Amino acid sequence: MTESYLLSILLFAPFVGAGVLVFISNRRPLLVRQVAVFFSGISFVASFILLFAFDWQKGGYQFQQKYLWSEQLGIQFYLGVDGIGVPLVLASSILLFTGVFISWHIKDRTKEFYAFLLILAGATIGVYVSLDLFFLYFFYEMSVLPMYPLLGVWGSHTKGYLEMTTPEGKALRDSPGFILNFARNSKEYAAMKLTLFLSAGAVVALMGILLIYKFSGLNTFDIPLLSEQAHFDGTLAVVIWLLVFFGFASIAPLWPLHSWSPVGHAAAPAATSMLHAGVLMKLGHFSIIRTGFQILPDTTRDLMPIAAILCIGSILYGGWVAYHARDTKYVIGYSSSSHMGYVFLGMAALNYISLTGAVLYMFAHALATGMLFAMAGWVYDQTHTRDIPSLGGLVAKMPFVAGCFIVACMASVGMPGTVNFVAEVMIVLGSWAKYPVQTIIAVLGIVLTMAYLFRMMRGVFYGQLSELGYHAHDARTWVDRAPLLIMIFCSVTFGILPGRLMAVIGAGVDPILARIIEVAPMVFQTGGGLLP
Amino acid sequence: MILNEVAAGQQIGFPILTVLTFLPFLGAVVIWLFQKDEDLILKSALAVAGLEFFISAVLFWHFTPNSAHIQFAERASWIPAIGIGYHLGVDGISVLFIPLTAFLLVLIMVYSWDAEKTLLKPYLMALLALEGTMIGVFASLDLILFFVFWELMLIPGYFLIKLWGPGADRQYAALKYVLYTLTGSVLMLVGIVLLNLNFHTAAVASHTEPLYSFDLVDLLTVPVPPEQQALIFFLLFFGFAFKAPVFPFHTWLPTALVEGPIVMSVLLAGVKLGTYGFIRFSLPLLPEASRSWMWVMAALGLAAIIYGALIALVQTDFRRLLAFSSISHLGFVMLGLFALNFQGLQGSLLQMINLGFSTAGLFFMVGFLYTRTGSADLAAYGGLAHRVPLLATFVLILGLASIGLPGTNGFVGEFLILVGAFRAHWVLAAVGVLGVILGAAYFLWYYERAFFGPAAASALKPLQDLQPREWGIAVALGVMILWIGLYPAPFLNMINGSVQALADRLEQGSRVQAVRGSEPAATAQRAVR
Repeated sequence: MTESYLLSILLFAPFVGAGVLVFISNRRPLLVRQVAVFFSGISFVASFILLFAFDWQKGGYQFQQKYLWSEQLGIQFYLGVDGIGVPLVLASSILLFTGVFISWHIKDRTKEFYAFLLILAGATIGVYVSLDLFFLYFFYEMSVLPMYPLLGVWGSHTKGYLEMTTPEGKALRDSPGFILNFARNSKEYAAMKLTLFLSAGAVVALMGILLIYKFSGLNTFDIPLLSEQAHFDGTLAVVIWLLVFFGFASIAPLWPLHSWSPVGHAAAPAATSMLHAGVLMKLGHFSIIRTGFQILPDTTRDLMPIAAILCIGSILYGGWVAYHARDTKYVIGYSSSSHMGYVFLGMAALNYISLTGAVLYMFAHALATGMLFAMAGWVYDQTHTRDIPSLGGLVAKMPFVAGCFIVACMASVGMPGTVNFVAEVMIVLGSWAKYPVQTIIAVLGIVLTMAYLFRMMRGVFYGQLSELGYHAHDARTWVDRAPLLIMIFCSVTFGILPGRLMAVIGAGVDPILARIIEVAPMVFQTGGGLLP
Repeated sequence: MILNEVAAGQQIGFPILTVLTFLPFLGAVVIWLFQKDEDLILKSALAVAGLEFFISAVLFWHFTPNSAHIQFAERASWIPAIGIGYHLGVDGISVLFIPLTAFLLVLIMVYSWDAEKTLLKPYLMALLALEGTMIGVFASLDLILFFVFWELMLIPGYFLIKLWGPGADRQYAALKYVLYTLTGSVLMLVGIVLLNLNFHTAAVASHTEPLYSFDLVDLLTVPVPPEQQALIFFLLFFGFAFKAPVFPFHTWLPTALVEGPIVMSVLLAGVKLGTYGFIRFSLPLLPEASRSWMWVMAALGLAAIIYGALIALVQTDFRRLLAFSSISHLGFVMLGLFALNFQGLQGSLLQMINLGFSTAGLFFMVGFLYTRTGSADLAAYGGLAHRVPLLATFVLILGLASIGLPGTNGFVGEFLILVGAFRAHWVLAAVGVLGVILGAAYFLWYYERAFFGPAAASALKPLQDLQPREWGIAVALGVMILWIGLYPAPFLNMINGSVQALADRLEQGSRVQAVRGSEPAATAQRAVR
């Protein structure tokens, strides 16, 4: 059975790649890139095989592998995916593979960059395929750490920092006491803030996980086992649920825990932003489903309205700030945190359609936001600014990128024909009965999205060509074009033929919901349509 | 309300609506592949539009008149889990819009031959894509499929206004157009979802399959509870009212018509998507809400008639005048729709088609004037009847049709609307008739000043009269206007069957007819096979 090793291959290919890169000299950058392409390509292909090999009619956890790690502590190295993990693994490997091409022109310490990028993506995949709480947490922490060097070394300062070029300004900039005020715009500040926030969140979640471990009395971190046999009552259940919910929601990021995220996006290099906004943020939702939803179903039913209230803050505040931001990556960053509100809404409504929609939206958003960050990165590389008012007219210089950018905006808005639309319809369809007010706010959020994305598009690509753009050029080679085309292709193909993805997600959502809502859920009898 | 279907396979032997919907997209792709040979690009775009028109004419001739059946139906499964299907079909309500759209596109291609010089390839691609989405809107019977085309339309529309508009504020106009329409349509999406949820509740209660459906035919079999009707009615209303646009949601239209290119104005003013939405979805799905809000809707229609006409009266810019006259005419259409009786519906439907010839035609004429004088303002005109006599004649014919002179198509439509309004309540007709008078006033006054008045001193250079291609456009429009005006029977026969069924439903309400459990959806599907 080679098939059962599929998840190991998928998971370890990036780590092996990172290991191989250590032995390659930085004087051979092309070889470094080729190695990164090869190992991320293995994950890329394997994740598509996973999607089509996953038996959605059977459901449950598939491709399981279990090795005992510590009998005393009850820790196993336990891999397996259900229908919720599959699309997120797919999104991770798509973004890793395309991210490798997006970072093709990084010249500074190429090998280290790619090694960290591979570790970041590998750890993210690790969370999505772990069925043991210990390793889920292990990979979760592991995915946060590479962000620090990726931002701190290869990141970029925002506009305010670069303006401090006078000698006094420089002195001020580098003085330690100034960190609270001015250094906000530096990449080091962003890296530190991001790492501290996410580590703090992780520690809170860890306390929840340890409480689960301690009070379940099962001496195991095994998620399927815990969800079947562990019972928590009263205050303890509430405390655990709040710990894991807010711990993991900080990476999601749920308003008002979002403030690390746009800063981090803005400072990160393009491929890192893609992975970060595309799949790293979804670790939050995914882990909440794995712990809160699966292990504490009754508490989830009682407390999930919290998410339904806070998601309004995400949607409206994120959208409002995105509309007023000047920095392209801030716009996309706040837009991401706004769009994560939809996922929380879909999760809070706790029914079959809305939760399937929420998971599909995670996948859809990964592709859309990945494209936007990739192109914001391209524009930044060409013009060395992300300041919207000082850009303009770039369509003349880069028609291909501008065209892709329009498609990405449309996808982000949820234009029919992209997978975002299907997901949005499902969230709206599922959430209405329980949260009509939030649903109306969410659809009006779509208009807001259109407003800020079109505003950015107009400012960057249309109007008078700014002098910063005189020497900009288009994505001419296939290396530059392929990642954009892959993401567009996936977004549109799964938008027109979402059948298989929906059936797979549905197979994962079904058993989880069956334990939360008393009414028998709607089982997927109709199957997946055109491409089941 | 149970709509029977006749499958395309039985009726004509090939999926004609799919062909009609996707041929323009295919054409756009083909054009994209061409090199920079402008002549070839123009000819192939015209050929695609011509072929499209020919196929739509085939549809027109093969359509069985006086029938309420859905014809040329096509069904395929798409996303069955939440009840989204690929379901195309036309009945009396939608059938005339498809040839109209294709007809206007042919004229637009001919017009573009001389008028458009910049970025020709993307321009023609955008036009063809726009045509495909519009035809898709008219052919879709699944509400999500309808919504897909409805939204996709914004993309070519946005770029046509933004990139090829002659106005200085075209960027603003394009964004305003998109944001206004999108605001309405996301609310409409919620309404569509609510209709599906209502269907779901009924399906669960009666243990029937499918559990979810966005299909108009399925949704019509389930009456919407009265307490929900008003909510859904207004959610849909926003979508259609912004698009139509219905007063007071109209403010984007004058901006878009004045700043955008002539071709976009032709399509925005000529293809009445918003009011089509009302007659296609709001009225049949929500008859009780339509009845209880009838007075509000009719009042909005009357307000639009009077307001649009009064504003048009004081315009000096011909395009702005037409924009407000368009708003005024839409008021008539709303009035007829919400008279909620046979004549009103029939008149409104015919009038939507009529405006596609008269108002849209007048925009072509403004385009001709604009290319000659470089302005659409009264200051540049004057004495045009002597300088371009042929053009002046056609402007007069089209203008009189838009006023509703007997013998032109406008008369038939407005007359039926007023009869319908009178049957609903005499006050509606009495106020509505003021609009006809004001319409004559603003058009004839402007015509007098622009075409007979003394020429502006600066504008005395000689002007070319109509060129052969322009002449062709004008004659084609004139023929259609007189045909419908003098012999409307074939057109009315085509729409009568469906209009009668709709009028019956509006009079009897949804509960009497809709008895679920007699497996209506299954019957309909069997009819297809």
